[in-house]
Amino acid sequence: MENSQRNIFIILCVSLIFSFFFKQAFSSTIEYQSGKNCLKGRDLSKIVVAGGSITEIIYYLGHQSKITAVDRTSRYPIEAKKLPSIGYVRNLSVEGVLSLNPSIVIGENDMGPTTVVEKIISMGIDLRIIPEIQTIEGIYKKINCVSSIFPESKLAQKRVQNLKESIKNLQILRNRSKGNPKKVMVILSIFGSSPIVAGKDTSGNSFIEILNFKNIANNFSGWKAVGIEHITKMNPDVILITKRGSRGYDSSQKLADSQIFKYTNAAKKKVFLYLMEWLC
Amino acid sequence: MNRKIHSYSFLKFIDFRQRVIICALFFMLITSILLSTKIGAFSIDLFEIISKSASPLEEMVLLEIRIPRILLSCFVGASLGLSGASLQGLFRNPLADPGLIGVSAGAALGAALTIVVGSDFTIYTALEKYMIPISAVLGSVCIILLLYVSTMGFSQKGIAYMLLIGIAVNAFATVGIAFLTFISSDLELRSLSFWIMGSFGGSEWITILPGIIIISFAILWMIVSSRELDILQLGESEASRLGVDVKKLKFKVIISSAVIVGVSVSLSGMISFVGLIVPHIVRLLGGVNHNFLLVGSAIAGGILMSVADLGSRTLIQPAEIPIGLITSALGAPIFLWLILRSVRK
Amino acid sequence: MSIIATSTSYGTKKKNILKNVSLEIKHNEIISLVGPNGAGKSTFLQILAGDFEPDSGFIQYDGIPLSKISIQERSFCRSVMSQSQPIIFDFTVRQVIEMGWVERGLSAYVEDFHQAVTKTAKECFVFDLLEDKFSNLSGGEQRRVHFARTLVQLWRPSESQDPRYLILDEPTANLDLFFEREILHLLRTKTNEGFGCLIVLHDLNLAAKFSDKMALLHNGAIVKFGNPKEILSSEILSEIYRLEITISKNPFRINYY
Repeated sequence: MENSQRNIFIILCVSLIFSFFFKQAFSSTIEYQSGKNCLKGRDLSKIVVAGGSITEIIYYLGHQSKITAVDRTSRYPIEAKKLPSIGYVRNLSVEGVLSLNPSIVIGENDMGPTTVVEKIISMGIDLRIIPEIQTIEGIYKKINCVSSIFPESKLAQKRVQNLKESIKNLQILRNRSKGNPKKVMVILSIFGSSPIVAGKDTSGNSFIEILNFKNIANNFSGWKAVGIEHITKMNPDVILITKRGSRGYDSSQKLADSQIFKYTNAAKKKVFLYLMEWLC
Repeated sequence: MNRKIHSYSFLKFIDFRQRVIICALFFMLITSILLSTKIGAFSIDLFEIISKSASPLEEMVLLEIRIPRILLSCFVGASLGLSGASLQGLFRNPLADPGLIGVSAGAALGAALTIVVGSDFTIYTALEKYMIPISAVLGSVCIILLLYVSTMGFSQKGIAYMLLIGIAVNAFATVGIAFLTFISSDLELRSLSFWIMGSFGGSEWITILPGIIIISFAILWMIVSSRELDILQLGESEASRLGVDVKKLKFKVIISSAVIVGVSVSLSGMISFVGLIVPHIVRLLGGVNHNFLLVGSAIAGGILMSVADLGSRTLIQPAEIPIGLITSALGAPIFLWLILRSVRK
Repeated sequence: MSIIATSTSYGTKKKNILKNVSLEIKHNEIISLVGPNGAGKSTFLQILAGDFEPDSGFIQYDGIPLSKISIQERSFCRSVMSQSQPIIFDFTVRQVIEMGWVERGLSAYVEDFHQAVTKTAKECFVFDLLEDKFSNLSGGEQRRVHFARTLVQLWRPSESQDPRYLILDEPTANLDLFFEREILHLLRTKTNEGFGCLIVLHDLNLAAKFSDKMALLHNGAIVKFGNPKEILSSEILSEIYRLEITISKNPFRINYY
């Protein structure tokens, strides 16, 4: 396998494992004591989760049996979608949460609104807000934090061990790509308007930087629509695109043939990678 | 009795000054198109392209990316301006707008439905590219049918009644969009909001050509009713005494605006205010008779939209400003001014 | 050559508005339709113009049933002036008059277009207003503009002998004495050129003076029809108008106050 292609293959594998750990950077207004949040849970009989990545981590660690309800962003794994929903993570309702009579609520750092969070705390419910830092160490910390809420289990230990190895692989990859920063572009969606591209201060950007590559669209911040001409001009070597946002283009060939990417290096070498729905 | 009818010579209803204005507008349209072809991510010199001295990449960018986009923006601007002008004439209401009869909301609802729930029902992947345009057109067709049925074929109780029906229908569609926004995920929400604010970013020859053809026919069909719209200003019964088939006129204007607005919205998203302000600007420029107004609004709409799209492409490069933002930013103050002016009168 | 209404009736659920009204409008003739409010004058006018069909009876234009004539062809041979609605947009007077121009697709008429507009505008005393905004005019001026538009609709090259009819609902409303007289004189001139006219008037003296025949409409039926001087009597008028009305001959004059 050609070197660059192998690199990409590794990125793909790693990204599939890690994709779910990235959420859009979202500064939380909720103050929390990070130490307290990761202490062992007193009563784990009825767990309510607010945040897709938390749900995913709990499933990853094999602690899913006690989850009573999740929020609407918990779309992966698919079984999680069958659980009762407490609404949207940034817009929860107090009654919705309380009616489930949870013994513990584990939430994303962008859980809200603040009034609801305060209300949940004031009702004496064990509320944990998991800190989030968008680096590799941050991911590791996040998983460790969730893991330490639950009682120790063999499976969880094994999974964390796997994770460590993956991270080690990632480090190797990072070192390898250091000298040759590929121009990468992360695209959220290509239907209905100009492609929506990850700029600075996005989870997509962090993802690229974690891999030690260069986000070519770093001269604006947030997710923005970028014209096809500009994509042609930026000429990315690698394009990462969400599966959901690339409907109708279900193969690299189709993406490479599309008007949007036709004239880019990525299209010439057919390096399109599909991302999981790590934003949904 | 003589049956030789209907060879209108439009020109006699357009005076010299208005002809000059139309020529000037047309010249401006050509200028803005040429300007748009030049400016962008790649700075392209048209003469170099013609003399084949430009790079192949530049040529491809111009022919396959930029020109379809400019063309679509002109056609969408023309159709919004034109349908605004004729609906204002039909409803005899200076505040009427293509959005008012609910057609654009219907199209938006259709498209939003595809964006938000469509991904769960992929039918046939080759059609995916057309899913949004098709569902938008279907949405607007549904709205037209609803209008048609609830107004008994556009005839019942006159035009004011229809305006009210349009507002009610609009409210339904708005609720639908709000509901879809509510249930959509982050990704869908982003696509939806970009789409709703309008963009010509998805223009490709194969998607825009059918649209442009439909729009062209509808524009021609509508422009031939301009004389009848003039006469309608005297009132519905007066117009029919002057030989205007008012029911047919309503049908013609509403169907063709619905079609062009539906197609425009399906290809470029919701672009507000163009249909409202362009006819007013043209009226201020040269007069209110529809023979002049319809042609003028079509050209002026094209100018406004191609300039707005140029702004959308280039103001905050490389990101794009949603075009609805630019047109609304221009439109809202003008709209306010128009209201204040009509109140003072 | 005439418009004939044969026993037309029209009514709503509550009330019969017209009962068996028959009338003939010949060309070269002015017929005035008079009667108190609610007598059915406007309804009769609308039926005659073809706005809607009567419940029974029928209208014929030059021997052809009105329902067989397309609205376009109707517009070639009769024009109607009624109580008009305001015009929303800022049309100029010229444009409003031009709205009356019905395109017949014949080159002779196309060449006549500008002449027709100017000449009619002069006849109706609105030539000086042609480039003004219609909505800025006074009520009387607007009325004259509408009258000019009504005449433009029936413009023919001078040699034409086509039948044409004017149906006017209070053409003199809002006009001062001078224009009232001038417009009715103009109507007389047009009648001599071959027009047939039906006018609704409220001023009985004016009607008696300027019309060839008069139809007195009361409760949806024509009570009297014929030469004004012959049919008008103080008894009938007093009864219809619920008012003491006397008539003096030489000069013929109807007095009611």
